[in-house]
Amino acid sequence: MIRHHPPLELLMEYATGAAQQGAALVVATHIARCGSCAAEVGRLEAAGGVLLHAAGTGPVGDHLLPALLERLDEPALVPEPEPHFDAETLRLFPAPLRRHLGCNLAELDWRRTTGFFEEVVVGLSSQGEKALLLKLQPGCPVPPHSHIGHELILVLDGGYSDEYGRYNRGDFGTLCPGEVHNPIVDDDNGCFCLVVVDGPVKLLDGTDIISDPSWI
Amino acid sequence: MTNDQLRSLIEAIAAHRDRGAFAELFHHFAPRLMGFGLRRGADAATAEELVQETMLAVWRKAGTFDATRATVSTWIFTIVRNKRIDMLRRQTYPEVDLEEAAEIPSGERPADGDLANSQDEVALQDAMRTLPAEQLEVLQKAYFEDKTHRAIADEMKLPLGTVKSRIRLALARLRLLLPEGQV
Repeated sequence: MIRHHPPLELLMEYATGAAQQGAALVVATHIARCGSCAAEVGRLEAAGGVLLHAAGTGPVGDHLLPALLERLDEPALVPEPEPHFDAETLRLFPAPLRRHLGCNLAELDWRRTTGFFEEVVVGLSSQGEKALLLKLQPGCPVPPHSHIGHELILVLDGGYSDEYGRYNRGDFGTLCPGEVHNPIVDDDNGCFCLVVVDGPVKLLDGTDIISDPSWI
Repeated sequence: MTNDQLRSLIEAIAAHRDRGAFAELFHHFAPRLMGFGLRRGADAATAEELVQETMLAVWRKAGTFDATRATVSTWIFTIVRNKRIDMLRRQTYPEVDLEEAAEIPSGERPADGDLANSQDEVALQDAMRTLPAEQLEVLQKAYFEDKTHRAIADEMKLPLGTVKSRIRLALARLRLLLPEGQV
Protein backbone atom coordinates (compact mmCIF):
# COMPACT_ATOMS: atom_id res chain seq x y z
CA MET A 1 0.00 0.00 0.00
CA ILE A 2 1.50 3.30 -1.08
CA ARG A 3 1.14 5.88 1.70
CA HIS A 4 3.31 8.78 0.58
CA HIS A 5 2.50 10.60 -2.65
CA PRO A 6 3.95 13.57 -4.55
CA PRO A 7 2.47 16.91 -3.45
CA LEU A 8 -0.39 18.20 -5.59
CA GLU A 9 1.82 21.06 -6.82
CA LEU A 10 4.26 18.56 -8.33
CA LEU A 11 1.51 16.45 -9.97
CA MET A 12 0.16 19.70 -11.43
CA GLU A 13 3.59 20.71 -12.74
CA TYR A 14 3.91 17.27 -14.33
CA ALA A 15 0.46 17.59 -15.97
CA THR A 16 1.08 21.10 -17.30
CA GLY A 17 4.59 20.31 -18.56
CA ALA A 18 6.27 22.77 -16.18
CA ALA A 19 8.29 20.02 -14.46
CA GLN A 20 11.91 19.67 -15.51
CA GLN A 21 12.98 16.30 -16.91
CA GLY A 22 14.32 14.85 -13.64
CA ALA A 23 11.25 15.82 -11.60
CA ALA A 24 9.00 14.57 -14.43
CA LEU A 25 10.92 11.27 -14.49
CA VAL A 26 10.46 10.60 -10.78
CA VAL A 27 6.76 11.58 -10.92
CA ALA A 28 6.11 9.42 -14.02
CA THR A 29 7.91 6.50 -12.36
CA HIS A 30 5.73 6.87 -9.25
CA ILE A 31 2.46 7.08 -11.17
CA ALA A 32 3.38 3.96 -13.14
CA ARG A 33 2.84 2.15 -9.81
CA CYS A 34 0.20 4.37 -8.20
CA GLY A 35 -3.34 4.33 -9.55
CA SER A 36 -4.60 7.23 -7.45
CA CYS A 37 -1.86 9.60 -8.66
CA ALA A 38 -2.31 8.32 -12.24
CA ALA A 39 -6.00 9.21 -11.99
CA GLU A 40 -5.23 12.60 -10.43
CA VAL A 41 -2.79 13.42 -13.26
CA GLY A 42 -5.47 12.26 -15.73
CA ARG A 43 -7.94 14.74 -14.19
CA LEU A 44 -5.37 17.54 -14.25
CA GLU A 45 -4.63 16.77 -17.91
CA ALA A 46 -8.37 16.91 -18.59
CA ALA A 47 -8.30 20.52 -17.34
CA GLY A 48 -5.58 21.13 -19.94
CA GLY A 49 -7.86 19.62 -22.59
CA VAL A 50 -10.75 21.90 -21.62
CA LEU A 51 -8.50 24.97 -21.51
CA LEU A 52 -7.09 24.07 -24.95
CA HIS A 53 -10.60 23.64 -26.31
CA ALA A 54 -11.68 27.02 -24.97
CA ALA A 55 -8.36 28.69 -25.76
CA GLY A 56 -7.75 31.79 -27.75
CA THR A 57 -6.85 30.96 -31.33
CA GLY A 58 -3.90 31.99 -33.45
CA PRO A 59 -3.80 32.74 -37.20
CA VAL A 60 -3.33 29.63 -39.33
CA GLY A 61 -1.86 30.33 -42.78
CA ASP A 62 -3.57 28.78 -45.82
CA HIS A 63 -0.40 26.91 -46.72
CA LEU A 64 -0.34 24.88 -43.50
CA LEU A 65 -2.95 22.21 -44.23
CA PRO A 66 -1.68 21.39 -47.76
CA ALA A 67 1.89 21.22 -46.38
CA LEU A 68 0.73 18.86 -43.66
CA LEU A 69 -1.29 16.66 -46.03
CA GLU A 70 1.89 16.24 -48.11
CA ARG A 71 3.72 15.03 -45.04
CA LEU A 72 1.16 12.43 -43.95
CA ASP A 73 2.81 9.68 -45.99
CA GLU A 74 6.31 10.48 -44.74
CA PRO A 75 7.69 7.49 -42.92
CA ALA A 76 7.72 8.15 -39.18
CA LEU A 77 11.07 7.96 -37.44
CA VAL A 78 11.26 4.46 -36.09
CA PRO A 79 12.21 4.67 -32.41
CA GLU A 80 15.13 2.52 -31.37
CA PRO A 81 13.83 -0.82 -30.22
CA GLU A 82 13.87 -1.24 -26.45
CA PRO A 83 16.49 -3.63 -25.17
CA HIS A 84 15.29 -6.92 -23.75
CA PHE A 85 14.71 -6.19 -20.08
CA ASP A 86 15.39 -9.04 -17.69
CA ALA A 87 13.05 -10.03 -14.86
CA GLU A 88 14.98 -8.19 -12.14
CA THR A 89 15.00 -4.97 -14.18
CA LEU A 90 11.25 -5.30 -14.83
CA ARG A 91 10.64 -5.89 -11.12
CA LEU A 92 12.62 -2.87 -9.95
CA PHE A 93 12.28 -0.27 -12.71
CA PRO A 94 8.79 0.83 -13.80
CA ALA A 95 8.48 1.57 -17.52
CA PRO A 96 9.26 5.33 -17.55
CA LEU A 97 12.51 4.70 -15.64
CA ARG A 98 13.72 1.68 -17.62
CA ARG A 99 12.89 3.46 -20.88
CA HIS A 100 14.91 6.46 -19.72
CA LEU A 101 17.87 4.30 -18.62
CA GLY A 102 17.70 2.08 -21.73
CA CYS A 103 19.62 -0.77 -20.08
CA ASN A 104 19.31 -3.57 -17.58
CA LEU A 105 20.06 -3.25 -13.90
CA ALA A 106 23.17 -5.45 -14.24
CA GLU A 107 24.71 -3.09 -16.81
CA LEU A 108 24.69 -0.07 -14.49
CA ASP A 109 28.02 1.17 -13.25
CA TRP A 110 27.63 1.39 -9.48
CA ARG A 111 30.08 3.57 -7.59
CA ARG A 112 30.64 4.02 -3.90
CA THR A 113 31.70 7.62 -3.49
CA THR A 114 30.64 8.84 -0.08
CA GLY A 115 30.68 5.73 2.07
CA PHE A 116 26.95 5.73 2.79
CA PHE A 117 25.59 4.22 -0.39
CA GLU A 118 26.35 3.08 -3.91
CA GLU A 119 25.18 5.40 -6.65
CA VAL A 120 24.62 5.64 -10.39
CA VAL A 121 24.13 9.04 -11.99
CA VAL A 122 21.09 9.07 -14.28
CA GLY A 123 21.70 11.25 -17.35
CA LEU A 124 19.34 14.21 -17.82
CA SER A 125 19.12 16.79 -20.58
CA SER A 126 17.73 19.44 -18.21
CA GLN A 127 19.85 21.98 -16.31
CA GLY A 128 20.02 22.52 -12.57
CA GLU A 129 18.92 19.08 -11.40
CA LYS A 130 20.62 15.79 -10.78
CA ALA A 131 19.11 12.32 -10.72
CA LEU A 132 20.69 9.32 -9.00
CA LEU A 133 19.88 5.72 -8.35
CA LEU A 134 20.95 4.85 -4.80
CA LYS A 135 21.45 1.43 -3.24
CA LEU A 136 21.69 1.33 0.55
CA GLN A 137 22.44 -1.75 2.63
CA PRO A 138 20.08 -2.91 5.41
CA GLY A 139 20.77 -1.14 8.68
CA CYS A 140 22.60 1.67 6.95
CA PRO A 141 22.09 4.98 8.71
CA VAL A 142 22.60 8.05 6.56
CA PRO A 143 23.78 10.91 8.80
CA PRO A 144 21.42 13.84 9.24
CA HIS A 145 21.60 16.06 6.18
CA SER A 146 19.91 19.21 4.99
CA HIS A 147 18.68 20.23 1.58
CA ILE A 148 19.49 23.51 -0.08
CA GLY A 149 17.07 22.69 -2.85
CA HIS A 150 14.34 20.08 -3.11
CA GLU A 151 14.93 16.36 -2.84
CA LEU A 152 12.43 13.94 -4.38
CA ILE A 153 12.83 10.30 -3.37
CA LEU A 154 11.01 7.36 -4.90
CA VAL A 155 11.50 3.99 -3.21
CA LEU A 156 11.90 1.37 -5.94
CA ASP A 157 12.38 -1.52 -3.51
CA GLY A 158 12.98 -2.10 0.19
CA GLY A 159 12.44 0.93 2.39
CA TYR A 160 13.60 3.44 4.98
CA SER A 161 12.26 5.49 7.85
CA ASP A 162 12.92 9.07 8.80
CA GLU A 163 11.35 11.83 10.88
CA TYR A 164 8.48 12.04 8.37
CA GLY A 165 7.45 8.38 8.38
CA ARG A 166 8.10 4.97 6.93
CA TYR A 167 8.71 4.73 3.18
CA ASN A 168 8.19 1.44 1.35
CA ARG A 169 8.23 0.33 -2.28
CA GLY A 170 6.38 2.93 -4.38
CA ASP A 171 6.36 5.64 -1.69
CA PHE A 172 7.38 9.15 -2.63
CA GLY A 173 9.30 11.39 -0.22
CA THR A 174 9.60 15.15 -0.69
CA LEU A 175 12.15 17.28 1.18
CA CYS A 176 11.92 21.03 0.80
CA PRO A 177 14.78 23.55 1.06
CA GLY A 178 16.01 23.81 4.63
CA GLU A 179 14.50 20.53 5.80
CA VAL A 180 16.81 18.10 7.58
CA HIS A 181 16.23 14.37 7.75
CA ASN A 182 17.99 11.38 9.19
CA PRO A 183 16.93 8.30 7.22
CA ILE A 184 17.59 4.78 8.49
CA VAL A 185 17.38 1.78 6.20
CA ASP A 186 15.30 -0.49 8.39
CA ASP A 187 14.16 -2.94 5.71
CA ASP A 188 15.81 -6.36 5.45
CA ASN A 189 16.19 -5.87 1.71
CA GLY A 190 17.97 -2.55 2.07
CA CYS A 191 16.69 0.39 0.08
CA PHE A 192 16.83 0.99 -3.63
CA CYS A 193 15.65 4.42 -4.67
CA LEU A 194 15.56 7.07 -7.38
CA VAL A 195 16.50 10.50 -6.06
CA VAL A 196 16.26 13.86 -7.83
CA VAL A 197 17.77 17.00 -6.30
CA ASP A 198 17.84 20.57 -7.56
CA GLY A 199 20.42 21.85 -5.11
CA PRO A 200 23.27 20.51 -2.99
CA VAL A 201 22.61 18.12 -0.13
CA LYS A 202 24.89 18.75 2.85
CA LEU A 203 25.83 16.88 5.98
CA LEU A 204 25.50 19.05 9.06
CA ASP A 205 29.26 19.75 8.99
CA GLY A 206 28.85 21.20 5.49
CA THR A 207 30.32 18.38 3.38
CA ASP A 208 28.43 17.33 0.29
CA ILE A 209 26.70 13.97 0.56
CA ILE A 210 26.21 13.60 -3.19
CA SER A 211 29.40 13.53 -5.17
CA ASP A 212 30.37 16.19 -7.69
CA PRO A 213 28.25 19.15 -6.63
CA SER A 214 29.73 21.20 -9.50
CA TRP A 215 26.59 20.68 -11.60
CA ILE A 216 24.58 23.26 -9.70
CA MET B 1 -17.56 20.23 -32.09
CA THR B 2 -18.50 17.81 -29.31
CA ASN B 3 -16.19 15.14 -27.98
CA ASP B 4 -18.28 12.44 -29.70
CA GLN B 5 -17.85 14.19 -33.07
CA LEU B 6 -14.11 14.61 -32.51
CA ARG B 7 -13.84 11.00 -31.44
CA SER B 8 -15.47 9.74 -34.64
CA LEU B 9 -12.91 11.74 -36.65
CA ILE B 10 -10.04 10.10 -34.76
CA GLU B 11 -11.65 6.69 -35.27
CA ALA B 12 -12.00 7.35 -39.02
CA ILE B 13 -8.30 8.20 -39.21
CA ALA B 14 -7.36 5.09 -37.24
CA ALA B 15 -9.63 2.75 -39.20
CA HIS B 16 -9.06 3.91 -42.79
CA ARG B 17 -6.54 6.74 -42.87
CA ASP B 18 -9.35 9.19 -43.67
CA ARG B 19 -7.76 12.42 -44.94
CA GLY B 20 -11.11 14.24 -44.95
CA ALA B 21 -11.52 13.48 -41.24
CA PHE B 22 -7.96 14.67 -40.67
CA ALA B 23 -8.69 17.97 -42.45
CA GLU B 24 -11.78 18.50 -40.27
CA LEU B 25 -9.77 17.81 -37.15
CA PHE B 26 -7.12 20.22 -38.40
CA HIS B 27 -9.66 23.01 -38.92
CA HIS B 28 -10.89 22.52 -35.39
CA PHE B 29 -7.56 22.23 -33.56
CA ALA B 30 -4.94 24.07 -35.64
CA PRO B 31 -6.06 27.61 -34.59
CA ARG B 32 -6.15 26.52 -30.94
CA LEU B 33 -2.75 24.85 -31.14
CA MET B 34 -1.38 27.94 -32.87
CA GLY B 35 -2.75 30.11 -30.05
CA PHE B 36 -1.21 27.71 -27.54
CA GLY B 37 2.23 27.93 -29.18
CA LEU B 38 2.15 31.72 -29.49
CA ARG B 39 1.05 32.11 -25.90
CA ARG B 40 4.14 30.19 -24.76
CA GLY B 41 6.26 32.86 -26.46
CA ALA B 42 7.18 30.91 -29.60
CA ASP B 43 7.62 32.95 -32.80
CA ALA B 44 5.13 32.31 -35.63
CA ALA B 45 7.42 29.87 -37.48
CA THR B 46 8.05 27.80 -34.33
CA ALA B 47 4.36 27.84 -33.44
CA GLU B 48 3.55 26.57 -36.95
CA GLU B 49 6.09 23.80 -36.57
CA LEU B 50 4.48 22.88 -33.24
CA VAL B 51 1.06 22.69 -34.96
CA GLN B 52 2.51 20.50 -37.73
CA GLU B 53 4.35 18.14 -35.40
CA THR B 54 1.32 17.79 -33.12
CA MET B 55 -1.13 17.10 -35.96
CA LEU B 56 1.32 14.67 -37.57
CA ALA B 57 1.51 12.78 -34.25
CA VAL B 58 -2.32 12.74 -34.11
CA TRP B 59 -2.35 11.16 -37.59
CA ARG B 60 0.27 8.56 -36.67
CA LYS B 61 -0.99 7.70 -33.21
CA ALA B 62 -4.74 7.76 -33.91
CA GLY B 63 -4.83 3.98 -33.45
CA THR B 64 -3.55 4.28 -29.87
CA PHE B 65 -6.23 6.78 -28.79
CA ASP B 66 -8.30 5.18 -26.04
CA ALA B 67 -11.64 6.90 -25.55
CA THR B 68 -12.13 5.19 -22.19
CA ARG B 69 -9.10 6.99 -20.74
CA ALA B 70 -9.20 10.51 -22.14
CA THR B 71 -11.26 12.84 -24.27
CA VAL B 72 -9.89 13.93 -27.64
CA SER B 73 -9.01 17.41 -26.33
CA THR B 74 -7.17 15.95 -23.35
CA TRP B 75 -5.26 13.52 -25.56
CA ILE B 76 -4.23 16.30 -27.95
CA PHE B 77 -3.28 18.52 -25.00
CA THR B 78 -0.81 15.86 -23.77
CA ILE B 79 0.65 15.50 -27.29
CA VAL B 80 1.19 19.26 -27.74
CA ARG B 81 2.58 19.54 -24.21
CA ASN B 82 5.21 16.89 -24.95
CA LYS B 83 6.02 18.26 -28.42
CA ARG B 84 6.48 21.74 -26.96
CA ILE B 85 8.97 20.39 -24.42
CA ASP B 86 10.79 18.47 -27.19
CA MET B 87 11.01 21.57 -29.38
CA LEU B 88 11.56 24.42 -26.95
CA ARG B 89 13.57 22.68 -24.25
CA ARG B 90 15.14 19.84 -26.23
CA GLN B 91 14.03 17.37 -23.58
CA THR B 92 12.10 14.14 -23.89
CA TYR B 93 9.22 14.22 -21.45
CA PRO B 94 8.96 11.05 -19.35
CA GLU B 95 5.54 9.60 -20.12
CA VAL B 96 3.43 6.81 -18.71
CA ASP B 97 1.97 4.77 -21.55
CA LEU B 98 -1.46 3.27 -21.43
CA GLU B 99 -0.36 -0.34 -21.51
CA GLU B 100 1.87 0.34 -18.51
CA ALA B 101 -1.14 0.86 -16.30
CA ALA B 102 -1.11 -2.95 -16.18
CA GLU B 103 1.90 -2.66 -13.85
CA ILE B 104 -0.14 -0.91 -11.19
CA PRO B 105 -0.75 -3.46 -8.41
CA SER B 106 -4.47 -4.16 -8.02
CA GLY B 107 -4.49 -2.67 -4.51
CA GLU B 108 -3.28 0.68 -5.87
CA ARG B 109 -5.91 1.12 -8.57
CA PRO B 110 -8.31 3.99 -8.00
CA ALA B 111 -11.95 3.22 -7.30
CA ASP B 112 -13.22 5.72 -9.86
CA GLY B 113 -11.99 5.86 -13.45
CA ASP B 114 -10.28 8.73 -15.16
CA LEU B 115 -12.29 11.71 -16.11
CA ALA B 116 -13.00 10.61 -19.62
CA ASN B 117 -16.55 10.67 -20.85
CA SER B 118 -18.13 13.53 -22.69
CA GLN B 119 -20.64 14.38 -19.92
CA ASP B 120 -17.73 14.91 -17.54
CA GLU B 121 -16.02 17.10 -20.09
CA VAL B 122 -19.12 19.24 -20.63
CA ALA B 123 -19.47 19.62 -16.85
CA LEU B 124 -15.82 20.63 -16.64
CA GLN B 125 -16.26 23.16 -19.45
CA ASP B 126 -19.26 24.66 -17.63
CA ALA B 127 -17.39 24.79 -14.33
CA MET B 128 -14.41 26.43 -16.03
CA ARG B 129 -16.69 29.27 -17.18
CA THR B 130 -17.74 30.00 -13.60
CA LEU B 131 -14.20 30.39 -12.26
CA PRO B 132 -13.32 33.81 -10.86
CA ALA B 133 -11.03 35.67 -13.28
CA GLU B 134 -8.07 35.59 -10.89
CA GLN B 135 -8.27 31.80 -10.60
CA LEU B 136 -8.64 31.29 -14.36
CA GLU B 137 -5.64 33.53 -14.97
CA VAL B 138 -3.27 31.43 -12.84
CA LEU B 139 -4.59 28.20 -14.37
CA GLN B 140 -4.01 29.53 -17.88
CA LYS B 141 -0.48 30.57 -16.99
CA ALA B 142 0.19 27.10 -15.58
CA TYR B 143 -1.21 25.21 -18.58
CA PHE B 144 -0.47 27.46 -21.53
CA GLU B 145 2.88 28.85 -20.45
CA ASP B 146 4.07 25.73 -18.56
CA LYS B 147 5.06 27.87 -15.61
CA THR B 148 5.79 26.51 -12.16
CA HIS B 149 3.84 27.94 -9.23
CA ARG B 150 7.02 29.81 -8.24
CA ALA B 151 7.43 31.32 -11.73
CA ILE B 152 3.78 32.45 -11.76
CA ALA B 153 4.21 34.05 -8.33
CA ASP B 154 7.36 35.90 -9.45
CA GLU B 155 5.77 37.13 -12.67
CA MET B 156 2.53 38.29 -11.04
CA LYS B 157 4.37 39.70 -8.00
CA LEU B 158 2.19 37.63 -5.70
CA PRO B 159 3.22 35.61 -2.66
CA LEU B 160 3.75 31.92 -3.54
CA GLY B 161 1.04 30.98 -1.03
CA THR B 162 -1.51 33.12 -2.89
CA VAL B 163 -0.76 31.38 -6.19
CA LYS B 164 -0.97 27.96 -4.55
CA SER B 165 -4.29 28.75 -2.90
CA ARG B 166 -5.80 30.18 -6.12
CA ILE B 167 -4.83 27.01 -7.98
CA ARG B 168 -6.14 24.80 -5.20
CA LEU B 169 -9.45 26.71 -5.06
CA ALA B 170 -9.79 26.49 -8.84
CA LEU B 171 -9.08 22.74 -8.87
CA ALA B 172 -11.54 22.18 -6.02
CA ARG B 173 -14.21 24.14 -7.84
CA LEU B 174 -13.58 22.11 -10.98
CA ARG B 175 -13.85 18.94 -8.83
CA LEU B 176 -10.42 17.82 -9.98
CA LEU B 177 -9.02 17.01 -6.56
CA LEU B 178 -9.02 13.62 -4.91
CA PRO B 179 -11.94 13.50 -2.49
CA GLU B 180 -9.69 13.36 0.56
CA GLY B 181 -7.15 15.75 -0.98
CA GLN B 182 -3.42 15.27 -0.86
CA VAL B 183 -0.75 16.97 1.15
